[in-house]
Amino acid sequence: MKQNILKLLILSFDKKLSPDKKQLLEKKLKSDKKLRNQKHELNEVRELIKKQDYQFKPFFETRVMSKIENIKNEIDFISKLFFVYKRIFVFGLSAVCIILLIFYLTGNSIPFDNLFGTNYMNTDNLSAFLMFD
Amino acid sequence: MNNIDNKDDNYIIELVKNGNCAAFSIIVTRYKQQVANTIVGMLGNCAEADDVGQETFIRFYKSINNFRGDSSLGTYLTRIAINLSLNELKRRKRKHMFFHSDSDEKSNEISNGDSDFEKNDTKETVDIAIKNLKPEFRSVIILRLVNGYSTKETAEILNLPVGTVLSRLSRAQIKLKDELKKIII
Repeated sequence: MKQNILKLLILSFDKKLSPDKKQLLEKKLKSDKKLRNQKHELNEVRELIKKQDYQFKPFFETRVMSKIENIKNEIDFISKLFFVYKRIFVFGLSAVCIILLIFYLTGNSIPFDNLFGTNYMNTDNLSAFLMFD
Repeated sequence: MNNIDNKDDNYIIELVKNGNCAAFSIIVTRYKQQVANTIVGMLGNCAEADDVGQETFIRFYKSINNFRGDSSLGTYLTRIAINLSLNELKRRKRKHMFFHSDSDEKSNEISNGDSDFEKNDTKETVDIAIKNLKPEFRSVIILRLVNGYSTKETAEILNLPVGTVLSRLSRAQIKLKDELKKIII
């Protein structure tokens, strides 16, 4: 019972108690001096903890912002790199398409065998071809 | 920069999203105390705490485009800070398992003698008492009492049911009351 009242007392700091529980706690607090002392002690503990304030080492913002600046520079560099390579990739792809188109227009077909070097390949010498024999 | 110092968080976030990296320093200035309370409260005043603090803001910077504003910026940063702190404590625990020494085994004790007690100021004593709590209890004490979040907010940050938070708070306060008896009048 005592444990339950103590739990109720602690709970009352963090949660709104139902009217009957609140009444029970108030009644106990009036009659039990020990419980009143415990309430006082808990209040003191909570006040002490609330007063705690922690700090980072000096110049914390400067250190964070310096790292953020580095990250931003890295991101900028990567996006620039991507932009340059994207251009090269688009140019390369366009060149391949033009070559294929020229092949198609001159021979009426796209000679994939010639392009990939598989024109001399047949099923009989497939294993020799794959093993570069 | 001075004219944007008084703007609200959403405005500053939009500036950062649009490439104004310097505006991020306002966020750091605004929330460093709250983040410090969480991280230094959880890890103690050590070099790792500073690193975890920096990492908290860097993580937010990297994911700023994903911030939808469902919760306040303070709560969002505190959530990152508490998760990183708990990860750091797990890492310490793993490290302790590999490089175990007897001296590590002793938990910090609050000095008993009056003369010794006088040397420790109250803040330090409370610090030690909080440090002696298990991480799961420490986290609720830090969020609820040091940072001043409601029990519901604490539960949301820690991703726990409110009932669990209340029970952890209750057990933590009993332990703290016993540990701090010497300085309670």
